[in-house]
Amino acid sequence: MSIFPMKTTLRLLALVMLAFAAALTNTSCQTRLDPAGAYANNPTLYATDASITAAFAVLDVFMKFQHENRATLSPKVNEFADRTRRDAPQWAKSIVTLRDAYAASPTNENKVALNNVLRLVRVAITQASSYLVSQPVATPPTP
Amino acid sequence: MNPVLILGGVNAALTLLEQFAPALQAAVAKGEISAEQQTVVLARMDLIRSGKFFDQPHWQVPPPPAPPA
Repeated sequence: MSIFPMKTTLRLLALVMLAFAAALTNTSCQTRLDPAGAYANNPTLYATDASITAAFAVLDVFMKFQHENRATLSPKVNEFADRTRRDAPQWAKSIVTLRDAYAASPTNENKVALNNVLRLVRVAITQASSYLVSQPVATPPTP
Repeated sequence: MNPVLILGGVNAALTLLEQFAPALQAAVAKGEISAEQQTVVLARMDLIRSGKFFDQPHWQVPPPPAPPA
């Protein structure tokens, strides 16, 4: 038996997801990079890629959690997760295309386009977190 | 209460902490991102770019439930 009630656990997970999404999608361009690293000469590109990978990592943790606990989560959480499974690969393609366009030509226009599509992923993370907090948990099926 | 679900939630939160502790620490402390950490980010980008990121079992869309007989 855990020391945490289930609702508290889901809130904890949601809060951690939101905190990571907020912290890592706002990685400062002024962060210093080891010059021997792959991004040594491009802190902006590092910040962009760190934001993208962090956002997908947060979604990944949610998906794994939902996959392992589908039977005990509410239908709304499961529907949201399945919709995200269908849409996320397309989001990734769009993000990578816009990221490459920004890397090749770091104009303000390209930055805005990239940020717009990244916002979609942030919305999904926020939605996942809010579902975990607000949705009642379904009764597990009896064996 | 379902102890499995509780442990799953705690484990998921810990996984995030474990994966991103170095980057988070560097971002918060405004420290230097090591070459190793940069390689990790680049490798994760490659996974997303190639689509292999979504090959994991928990990213597969489950088949629709069979209609009632």
